[in-house]
Amino acid sequence: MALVWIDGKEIVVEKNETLLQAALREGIYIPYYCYHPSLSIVGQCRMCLVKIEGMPKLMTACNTYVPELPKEKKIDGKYDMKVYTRTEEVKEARRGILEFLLLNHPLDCPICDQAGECQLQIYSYEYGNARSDFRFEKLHFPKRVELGEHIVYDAERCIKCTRCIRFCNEITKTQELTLIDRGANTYVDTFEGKKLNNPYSVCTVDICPVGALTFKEFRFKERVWFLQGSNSVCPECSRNCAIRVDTYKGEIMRIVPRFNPEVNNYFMCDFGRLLSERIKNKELRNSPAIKENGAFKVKSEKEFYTTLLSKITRKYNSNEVSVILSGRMTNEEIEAYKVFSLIVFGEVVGEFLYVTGDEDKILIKKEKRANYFGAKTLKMKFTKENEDVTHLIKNKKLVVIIRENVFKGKKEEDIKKNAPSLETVVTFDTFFTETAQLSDFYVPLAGWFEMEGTVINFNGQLQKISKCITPPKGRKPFYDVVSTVLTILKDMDTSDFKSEKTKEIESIKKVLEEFKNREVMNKGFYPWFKEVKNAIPEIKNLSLKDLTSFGIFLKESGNG
Amino acid sequence: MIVKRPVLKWWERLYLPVVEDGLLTTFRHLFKKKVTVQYPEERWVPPEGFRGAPVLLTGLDGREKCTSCKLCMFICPPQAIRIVAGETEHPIEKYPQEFYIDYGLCIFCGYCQEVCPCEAIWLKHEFELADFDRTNLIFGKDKLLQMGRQEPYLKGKEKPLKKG
Repeated sequence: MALVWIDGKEIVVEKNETLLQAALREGIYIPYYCYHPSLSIVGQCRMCLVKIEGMPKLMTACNTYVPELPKEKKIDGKYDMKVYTRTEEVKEARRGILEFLLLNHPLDCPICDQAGECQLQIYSYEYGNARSDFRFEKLHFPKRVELGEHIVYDAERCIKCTRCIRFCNEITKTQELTLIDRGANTYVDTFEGKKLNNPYSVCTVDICPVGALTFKEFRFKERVWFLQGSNSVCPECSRNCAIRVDTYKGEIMRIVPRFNPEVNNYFMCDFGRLLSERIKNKELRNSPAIKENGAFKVKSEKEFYTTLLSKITRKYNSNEVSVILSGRMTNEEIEAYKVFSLIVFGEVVGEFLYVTGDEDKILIKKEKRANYFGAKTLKMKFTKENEDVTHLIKNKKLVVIIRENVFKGKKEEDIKKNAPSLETVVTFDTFFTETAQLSDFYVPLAGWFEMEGTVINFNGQLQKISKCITPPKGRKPFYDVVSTVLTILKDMDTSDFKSEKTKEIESIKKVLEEFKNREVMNKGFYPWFKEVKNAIPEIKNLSLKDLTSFGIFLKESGNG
Repeated sequence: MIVKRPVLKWWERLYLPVVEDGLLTTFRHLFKKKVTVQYPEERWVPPEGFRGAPVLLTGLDGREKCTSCKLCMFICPPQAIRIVAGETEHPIEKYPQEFYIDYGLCIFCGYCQEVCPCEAIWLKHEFELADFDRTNLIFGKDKLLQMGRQEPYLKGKEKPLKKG
């Protein structure tokens, strides 16, 4: 522990902390390129030069540790170091460094993807000169080099901060990248025979402070100042990496990781990031439809739900019904499903598909559904690991599938062979999948990025996802579907139900009456979030305001 | 604020001197140079610097100058410009795959011309844009480039685009 004076501010610097880290922590901004909080420190870019009293030259703040001085040597009687970050001398030095960095940097901001979030632009605006004194031909380097499947490298734009190299050496430990050549001719390249194809390769694009590394799928698509970012969570595994979804005019342009020290730090895997590409060009329907004579017919909301409910409500015994649920449902949707099940089947039935896959030691987790642990916390049942759907639908009469494409690659005959008694298949899903095509009733749901909700990750971190794009009116989150069902049921004539048991109808009315008092009939996210709060005692008094962008840690959920 | 109505004198209340003044002005114009143009038989030639329809210019290499940086799209107050960028084999890498200007929205302010780093978009002489259908007022890239080539308005002032 040492006491440092920086621009009139007294700062306590820990033993293993550098000057730059301490300054950033206290809100004193020192410009930097090569420093990254989760990578090792190299002092490569020289941008963080500061004046330290007693030193003959300017020092880089990023690799200066502060020693504790003996009492008689302390400056002004108490400081271990005195630092100036804003003097004319320091500014002049930074201006010089910037000029060096920009000597061979092409002036192609109009076609550079980084423009708008480029550190060179930001610091040039702050410290740089408007014109360069370099009057010679700029050095030329390889441009448009495909380092990997998703990465394009432009060596002319590179400032050799080596962040990408350190990322591959320290975080993924795959060691693909290195610096080639010497002096001014240095540039980054892969080792011979290697390609930058590790599962976290696109993170190098995020940490590149300039436009040298670009993401192939996002290249030239949209300028960053047009993009609108909303906080969300990656749905591809139970890690639940915090992400920012950048949209432009209702279209998802890219997904970038968002800093969350409890979950994913600064990074995310390529698989999750490429979700923005995978959800493109998928068939979408915007209104519920009923299969009549082999073809889907679009119905109005009221007509559809009346038909659906009169066909499934309390008609089957619970052992004749199979409900396949998905970890892609948010906590609110699971709570809403409980209500739905209580009304329609008389008890909470249904099993969550336990889909697993590869995992690694960095971020990717085994469970391939986002809210697996949310469902666990809400005490839902699960199938066996990667269980085939044929076991689940055997000898069943009604199959309800929510947010899962279980009949992938299957034909109608296969299903009939396995479940000859099958009468009705109801599918709730975002996309018009193969399962939806084989079902009798199809309800389009809002996608992961089109609704609000909360999810719980493997560690028990509860995070909120937000509505990044607005879906068409017909596509709703499942909790809104349940709200619609409740309102329609309330108005429905009880004689519509074919069930002859008046006792059952009485119980439906009882449940309806109960939920009327609990405000969930008002559509929207918040009343259902209240239901989740009631279900999980740990967050009983949590308000949405307390839920920061990092989320909240639940002790009783998750593995830990 | 209260403005007091002036109290007129008796000769002012006659109105005749004022009428005479007006007629004199009309009479004087009979002998002045005529400014009316018998459009469409007669065509008006816009002065230099006239802000007509924004069009796309072609460089000396026969390629469109636009690199699709979308600054015009950003600055355009009525958002009349829409660009879809694409990648080419050319060293400049980026080019406008699609470029639309909706003249129904354009207010001819000239911001796009001012902001363009490549001098690729220019407000030229063209002003006869009226149509019976609004959809016809959305001009695509081919038409805009053709309009840019039509009049050699910029001849002699064109600068080749710097590489890099």
